[in-house]
Amino acid sequence: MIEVKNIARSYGKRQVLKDVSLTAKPKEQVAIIGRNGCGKSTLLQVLAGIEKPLKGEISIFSQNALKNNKVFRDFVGYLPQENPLIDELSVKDNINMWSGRFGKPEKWLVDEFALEDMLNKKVATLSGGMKRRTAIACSLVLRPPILIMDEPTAALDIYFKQEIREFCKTFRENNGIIIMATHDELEIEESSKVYVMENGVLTLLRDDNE
Amino acid sequence: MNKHTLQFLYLEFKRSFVILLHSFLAFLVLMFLVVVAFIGVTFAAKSAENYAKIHVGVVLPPDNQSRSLKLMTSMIENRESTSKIAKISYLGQEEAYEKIRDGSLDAAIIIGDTFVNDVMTGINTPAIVLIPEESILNVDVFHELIDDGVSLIKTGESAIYSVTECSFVKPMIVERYQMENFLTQLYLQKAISLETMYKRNKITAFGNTSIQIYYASIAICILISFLGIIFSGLYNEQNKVIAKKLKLYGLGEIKIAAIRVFVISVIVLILFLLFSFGMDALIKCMGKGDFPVETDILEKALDEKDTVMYLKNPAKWGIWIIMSVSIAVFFHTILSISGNVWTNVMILIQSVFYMILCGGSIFPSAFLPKALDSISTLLPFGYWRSAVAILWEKKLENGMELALKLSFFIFAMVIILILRQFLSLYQRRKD
Repeated sequence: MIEVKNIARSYGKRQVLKDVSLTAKPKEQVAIIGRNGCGKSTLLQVLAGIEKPLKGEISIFSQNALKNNKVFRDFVGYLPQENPLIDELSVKDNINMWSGRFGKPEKWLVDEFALEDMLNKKVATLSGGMKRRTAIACSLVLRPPILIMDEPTAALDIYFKQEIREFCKTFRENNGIIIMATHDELEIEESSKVYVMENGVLTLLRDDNE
Repeated sequence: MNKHTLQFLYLEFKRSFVILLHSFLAFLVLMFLVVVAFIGVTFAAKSAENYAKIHVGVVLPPDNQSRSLKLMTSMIENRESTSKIAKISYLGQEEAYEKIRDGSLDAAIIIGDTFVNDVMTGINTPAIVLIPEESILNVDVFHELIDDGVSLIKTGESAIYSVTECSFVKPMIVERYQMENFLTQLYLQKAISLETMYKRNKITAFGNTSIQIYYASIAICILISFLGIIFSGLYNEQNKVIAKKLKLYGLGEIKIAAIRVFVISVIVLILFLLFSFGMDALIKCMGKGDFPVETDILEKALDEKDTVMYLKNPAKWGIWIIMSVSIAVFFHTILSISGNVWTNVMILIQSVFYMILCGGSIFPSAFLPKALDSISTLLPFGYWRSAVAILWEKKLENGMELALKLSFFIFAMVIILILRQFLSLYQRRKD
């Protein structure tokens, strides 16, 4: 379970996050919606441990993540809006960069994302969907139980979108937690919780558990 | 070192080689242009002013006898054989050395204080002839004339002293056939010892290096300096996202910076050796071809037993490693200035161009205005050039001084990076 309480973050004089709180349990998919530039990405970066909040608490499986970066690394996989891939390197090298392994990536990862034929291809030569697939694989190398995704299906065709939605479903069924920022209606529909971000304030719009 | 650090180190090496390969063609073009420029500049510098009169400075002793000396030199100056090839001016000793170094004087003759008295009393007195190491044709002719003249004098003197000594120092009855051997022996002794009567000093605006080595080392430094443009691929904006994520894996900015500097240092060192082998081969080809290039370095290069590189000297390797690190730190400092990689590349190109112009790369720094020359001593290009030039030196001279200068430059760059890091942290906290 991930619990976020009263997170605040600002850039200069502009307060991007104001007392943001949310919770997510295993098997839940949480969608965060809002206008462009409202602070969704900033919130996800804070939840992923990449940005530090000015105040607040983040508890991941009862551990204080803000006091120990290792918690973020071990429990959270982060898929940013821009693919965190190095174009000059191959798919295999990009995955190994996050796993710390040398040689072929783990079989389950290769099979899950059908990467066998792409392993030695340079990322620069891949299509948008394949890059996204590789990026998701990179975020899951350490098998985190929580996946934070920033617009996972943006600019993808419907087939890749379907692939990713199916992956998310499988991930949830395996007790995973997904927190995503999205504009996709189907993804919002499939989420058990929906929050809306406006003027730095996060408001619960819908909770299917209630 | 954790597994992510090792993996990142391995991947940065891989990325660097991939980026280098992608830019290989562009780099080949640059290499071609630099090599052509090198050949052109060395040839032009060598052939320049072949038929102009040489300017000879004469330094007379600062006393009353200089008047009679000046009369003598004026007489020699006005002879057609001398006036055709040289114009003579009179100046002080320090001024003469300075002008030989900066190239405004082609040769200088320094006559000692007791010259006239010594000549009158039959004592051989030293005369100092200063000739630049890399001299134009007419200076070479002048040099040869002096050599011939000195040889003639030495021969005459040796003969006279031999006879004198024979008659005054060795009073004995000697058979005629023995006399011949005896005189020959004495003559040889005198002739050889008279070598010390005339000193040769070579002063050059290029320091202790020949034109070929000077411009070859500059060519190598220019090629290496422009490698920074290629390494900018390691700093592109896409990687900011990755950099943020890597922090969670124990790879903060400082660690990444250290890894990048290490990777760039290793690659620069490898490429420096490759460029140097190539430049050395080119110099050898120039010597074996029809180019009128005659320098002592060429004699070494063409001697099969003598390896030009003298790679076995560990002190040289130490300097080259420090040089590579200083280049890497320089690249990293500039390529990480701002978030925009193209801005950083522009700054790098401008810095390199400035260093090339002001660091004595086109014209030796001795020819530049003093202000520019002073600024150039703060820039690393001159140190890199010196470090490259030691490739061709048999003995390492002033190695420690060069190593210290390079180390100081690295230290200065690290201080700048640390200050920048503090500034960035302060800015983030303010935000």
